[in-house]
Amino acid sequence: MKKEFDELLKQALTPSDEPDFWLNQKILNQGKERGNMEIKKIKRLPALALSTALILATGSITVFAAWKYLTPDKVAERVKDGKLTEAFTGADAIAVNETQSYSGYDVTFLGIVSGENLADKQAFTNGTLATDRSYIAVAIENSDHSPMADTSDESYSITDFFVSVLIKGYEPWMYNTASMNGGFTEFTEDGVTYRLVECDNVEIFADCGLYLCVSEGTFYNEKAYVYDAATGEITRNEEYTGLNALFDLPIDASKGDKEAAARYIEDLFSSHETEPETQPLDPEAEEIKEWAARLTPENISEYCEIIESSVLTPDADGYIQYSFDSEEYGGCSGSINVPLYFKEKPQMVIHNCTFADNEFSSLRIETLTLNEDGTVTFAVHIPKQS
Amino acid sequence: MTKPELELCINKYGKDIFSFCRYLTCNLQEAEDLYQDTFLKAIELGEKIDAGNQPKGYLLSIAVKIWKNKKRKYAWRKRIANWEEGFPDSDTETGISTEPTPEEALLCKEEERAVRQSVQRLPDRLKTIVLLYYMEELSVAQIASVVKIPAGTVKSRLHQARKILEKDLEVVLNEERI
Repeated sequence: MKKEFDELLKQALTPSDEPDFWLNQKILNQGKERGNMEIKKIKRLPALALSTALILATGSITVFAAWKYLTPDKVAERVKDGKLTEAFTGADAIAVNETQSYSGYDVTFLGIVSGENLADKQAFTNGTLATDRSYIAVAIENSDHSPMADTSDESYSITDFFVSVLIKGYEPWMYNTASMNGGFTEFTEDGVTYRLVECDNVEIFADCGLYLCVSEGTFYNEKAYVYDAATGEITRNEEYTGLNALFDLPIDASKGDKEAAARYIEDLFSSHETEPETQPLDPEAEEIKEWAARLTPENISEYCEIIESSVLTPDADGYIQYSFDSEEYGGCSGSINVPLYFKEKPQMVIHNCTFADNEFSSLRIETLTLNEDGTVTFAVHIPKQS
Repeated sequence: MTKPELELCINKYGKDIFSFCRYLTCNLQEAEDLYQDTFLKAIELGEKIDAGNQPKGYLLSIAVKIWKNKKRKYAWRKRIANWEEGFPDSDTETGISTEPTPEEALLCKEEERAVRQSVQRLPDRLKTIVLLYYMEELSVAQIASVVKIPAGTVKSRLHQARKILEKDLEVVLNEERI
């Protein structure tokens, strides 16, 4: 009987699903011989889960007569997005090609296009495909024309620049590409860094007034810009010595839609708030969740043991970056602004709890503790075995 | 991994890896992403792939790890709705012919479909083991190495899964015997 049953299982589960021909071609195209081609990752903003993970560097250089840099469509072409390449050559695309120079960088806003289903690579937001998006192409170069770090270089850092749409009348630290389900792809070619930024379609805000900011760091840099709460105007902080480029986004004001914009803002934060309760959990998961919910900074040492901890010193802007990777408990990474994070929180915070396969043994709890000397201890806990 | 190695791996193991991804994720889009990410991760890791180091097991272990990490996030955030919905229920989607067949063959197909659906309902920790054992035909030792758990745990999960499947498929199996 067992043998029969095993045979039945084997027969029923014989691999029958063929990968699509083009999917294989795509992988093969991306997997050119190592040495000739370096693999570069699509870099992500924390808020976004992009569906595709890798792109290739390109070997050739294309320079257009009227453009010093790659045109927006060529930027899209380089990241292998055919639909977006077409969109950037379409009637709705806006070519800007404006350069600003600050703090040793020449930043060129190449162009923008917005609309439904414009790209092959589409992002997931809250578990659904985000199809109505804005795509912005930017080139960043050292003013002295020394080459920018390539994404495959040791010196390359994902946190080098923050490129984001800002909206007049909306607090920039709160409403920017990161909160608007944004993400980006970045590559360096011919010593110039190109960044293709995407976020939810910003055209609905066109009648408010839109900006594009480019500054250093991972998140919106409050020191680099000035927000006038009375007028809603955002301007460069002239006294700031770092990079703080600010462009006007030239979208036709008639595309603005105040009602849709208000709905979007409401949904944006309500979806974040209600997200954890949108889908019922399995009973096992509920049990684990309930157990985890009973943990507090005061009792966590009683029920859990630390498997890894590190003391992190905030950078000049107050940010720390933490990460953890384990075969058994998975991995995580993130970044927080320490003063903002602990502003209204106790000294020790249960930052996150995760588990896999509804298994209690996979439960992992992350804590952040603000130390007296200003450093932060990031610790990963697991339930005690007893 | 060189391009010829990659091509060889795709040709030789593509169907196996993709079927595994398809059943593990229950969703075509997710399966394609996982399949793609698996090969790209293998390229990124740069391990030399040859017959001696069990490339299929190596690729499956990458797929399992990527999926486990992805599911970990989803498990907490509960973002993805209805994993079951995206599973290929129709014959056309699984590549099985829908042309009229003799009654016996039809019964057999129905039975297989019931088995697949039942496997699909297993918790991920059991489903992964069942797929690696029955679909990918890996040994217990190989599965232990892919999933990075002791061989004894693999055996116990296989046993648990069989019990659940036998109970779940009781009616179908009895019908067949009648």
